[in-house]
Amino acid sequence: LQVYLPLAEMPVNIFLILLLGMSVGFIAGLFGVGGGFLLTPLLILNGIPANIAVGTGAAHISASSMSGSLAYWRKKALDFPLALMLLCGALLGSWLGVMAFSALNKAGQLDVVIAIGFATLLGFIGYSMLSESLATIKAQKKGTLPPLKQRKAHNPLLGLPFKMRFKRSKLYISLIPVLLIGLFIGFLGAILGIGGGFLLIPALVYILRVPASLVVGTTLIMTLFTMSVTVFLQAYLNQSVDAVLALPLIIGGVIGAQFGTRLGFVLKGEWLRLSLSLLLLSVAARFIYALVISPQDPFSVTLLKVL
Amino acid sequence: MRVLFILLLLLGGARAEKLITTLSHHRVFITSNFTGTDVVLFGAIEREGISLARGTGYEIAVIVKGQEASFIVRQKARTFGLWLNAENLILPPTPTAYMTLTTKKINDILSQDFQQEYNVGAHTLLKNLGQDPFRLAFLRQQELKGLYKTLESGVSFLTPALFRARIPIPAHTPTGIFSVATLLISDGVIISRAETNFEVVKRGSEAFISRQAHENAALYGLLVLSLALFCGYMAHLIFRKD
Repeated sequence: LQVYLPLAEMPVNIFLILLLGMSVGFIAGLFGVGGGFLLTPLLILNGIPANIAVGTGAAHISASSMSGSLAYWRKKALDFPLALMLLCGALLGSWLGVMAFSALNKAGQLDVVIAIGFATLLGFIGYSMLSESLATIKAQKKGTLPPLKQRKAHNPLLGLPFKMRFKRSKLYISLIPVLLIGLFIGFLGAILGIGGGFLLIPALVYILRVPASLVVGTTLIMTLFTMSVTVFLQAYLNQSVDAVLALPLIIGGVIGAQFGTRLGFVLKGEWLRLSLSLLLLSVAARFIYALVISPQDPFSVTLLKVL
Repeated sequence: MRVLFILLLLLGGARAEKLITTLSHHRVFITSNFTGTDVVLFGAIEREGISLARGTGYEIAVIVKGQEASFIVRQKARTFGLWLNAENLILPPTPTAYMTLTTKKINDILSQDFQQEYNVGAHTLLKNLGQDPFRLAFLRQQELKGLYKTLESGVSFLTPALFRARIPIPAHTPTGIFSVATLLISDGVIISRAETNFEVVKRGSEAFISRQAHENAALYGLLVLSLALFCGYMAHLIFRKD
């Protein structure tokens, strides 16, 4: 069943889009991430223009992080003030990101920046996750569990001025690293159409040292905030959120996520992280491949304006 | 004297054919299930008061032109091992779509000069750029997208004076007014010409959504966002485990 996308100005198979939403939702639920890092590239590979893929991908993430944060909200497993402070940084980051997005789109470098951005980020995170999970699996086979990471000495970043107390996380830390992390995530979210959960989780754990039980909930609600702002700004400034594309993606996504979450409870954490890292690395490799091999046609045509 | 008379008759005859064309529809609507369509052109050749048949018969060329637009062509080049967009060229106004349908091979019915003068075939567009690789890339890509097309037996005669051409409108057609020029050719000379046009417009929910997204961008953004959040909320209600 072909459906015409009013903003992308092309027809797509609606079952293909539903399936895409479901598979991304499944993986997102399985690994506890938003899945934007898969959705945006998959949309682009299916012929959706990069700007529409990014804007519409953000709508998909805001829906899935909405249902996720509600679940953690009910369990009170999140630090709301911390999420708000991260959001302050992210708002500025989102705005800068959407502006950069417009400028890059005009300059014709958007696709390239998206590709390099994904290749670097996914490659880096995938690699660290791969070595960490392999080390854990190896240690378990030997029967020597890796030493639990102690809360190390104070990170000098956290001792900077403008300190604030976060009661829920039992932290008394400077706002500067909090705002900077928010800014970075917001910026990337706007440019790459990703929620940044797979970046924020390690940042909260290793930089801010937020207790593990609050990390996922805080990440989800922060993702919900940043992606909501991004959807609005992308729609308002770039006209890049296609409602007809978004709806089947969202519906497929929330259904897929349920199955993914259930399977996620059954599988072991380190094996889960190992497979996620391989997935991240293969998406990164796909982007690097496209950047490095000679293109079939080095020329591209873009319509600027109908006269 | 008699020779002169026949000559006059012939010359007069050369201007005596009248070309009448009409289209199957003058509006193409892009609705939610649009996957491309055809606009059919019907034409009749009316010969006014001459019984003198032409030795070589008639040939037809139909030229369909979308609205003019400015295009930018970018060329990727290897920079630090990566293929990045490097040089670019903004083309002078060029049609968004360009289709040429003829009864026979264009070169067999019209001389290069006439092809050039009447823009018969996309190869005549942007001729002042010559063999510039940017121009050639533009024509190649528009052809690949199905927006520029040459169908050298796209016009068929139903009777010696009646013909038909099926103009293909691809799924990702640009919108706007398309002009349709029909040339009646005999012996390599254009003896008559007719013009008509059709419009490609979005209709129904597609038109509505696209208009709202551009004209009421803020409201549209808020609505899409609320829709997304509502879906997430519903998913939470439906799937929560307690």
